[in-house]
Amino acid sequence: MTRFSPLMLLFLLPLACTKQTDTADVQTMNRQFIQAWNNKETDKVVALLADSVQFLQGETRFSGKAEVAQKWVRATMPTITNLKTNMVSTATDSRVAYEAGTYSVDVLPTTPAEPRGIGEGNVMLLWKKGTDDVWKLSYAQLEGLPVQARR
Amino acid sequence: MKTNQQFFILAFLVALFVGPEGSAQGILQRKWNPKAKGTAIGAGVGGTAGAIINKRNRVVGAGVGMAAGAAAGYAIGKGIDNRRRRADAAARAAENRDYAARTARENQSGANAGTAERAVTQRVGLKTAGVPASANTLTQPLPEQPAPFTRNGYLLNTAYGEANTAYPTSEYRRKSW
Repeated sequence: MTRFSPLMLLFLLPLACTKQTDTADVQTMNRQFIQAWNNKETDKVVALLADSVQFLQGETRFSGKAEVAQKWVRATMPTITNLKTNMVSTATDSRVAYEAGTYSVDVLPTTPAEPRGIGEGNVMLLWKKGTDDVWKLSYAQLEGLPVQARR
Repeated sequence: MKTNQQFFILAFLVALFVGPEGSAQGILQRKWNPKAKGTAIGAGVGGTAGAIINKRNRVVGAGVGMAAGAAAGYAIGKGIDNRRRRADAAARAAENRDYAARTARENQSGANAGTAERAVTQRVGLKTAGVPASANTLTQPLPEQPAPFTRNGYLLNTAYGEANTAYPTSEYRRKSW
């Protein structure tokens, strides 16, 4: 064993000298984000938004944390449940991380006579690292398909 | 002499299109009713054609052609005008029918409160004094028609046509998340 120790050190030395790149774990960030939606934790969702966050959906464009929180997060939170994403594209570097894919969600009825729905669409979430080294959601784009009535 | 005649014809046609407004463009940009437009086009085309056809006396040819062209143009314009009026009247009638049906539905839903007949009378302007409520077709209850929520298996967009919504032009609801 002692004979191999210097050899092992020789192999481990380059690894120790490798510069650690501080890339984001975008999957974990998105998982937390979606989990907060499913747990109806509005404050947690809003806390993950950057101050200059942009939200695009169809013909709507919301800018800034306050507007996005009010017109997207708080307005949509009571109307959906069981949000799931299936990300198909991802990329990260030291300051930007993104994932894009599709989503599905249960749409809750607003009146007792209205049926429940199943919403599907495309999603792109882009995270940026702030000056305080905290990752925040900087850009979200959703494209919804027609909501199917649940039978 | 012949040159003078041609000059007068040309000057007359130019004067026809360049009126007191000072520019042909201004005249063309104004909204003309179909009869005036037909008359003007007919006179212009007829006059030109008459002057070309009657080689022996172009002024007379232009005059006759202009008169005939103006008459024909007026007739065509009047026909177009009549068609438009009929279409407008039909659209208004359809709008009135829609309004009456809507009012009747509102009336039916508010009948339990006992104010429906008054509301319909006020909004439609019908005189119902001395006429029993059952005689007024607008106050007759219609079969209950619940507003549909779905079509073809998809939820309908309740914000259809509303500005500042994500999908105002989609009849189906697309906003989920």
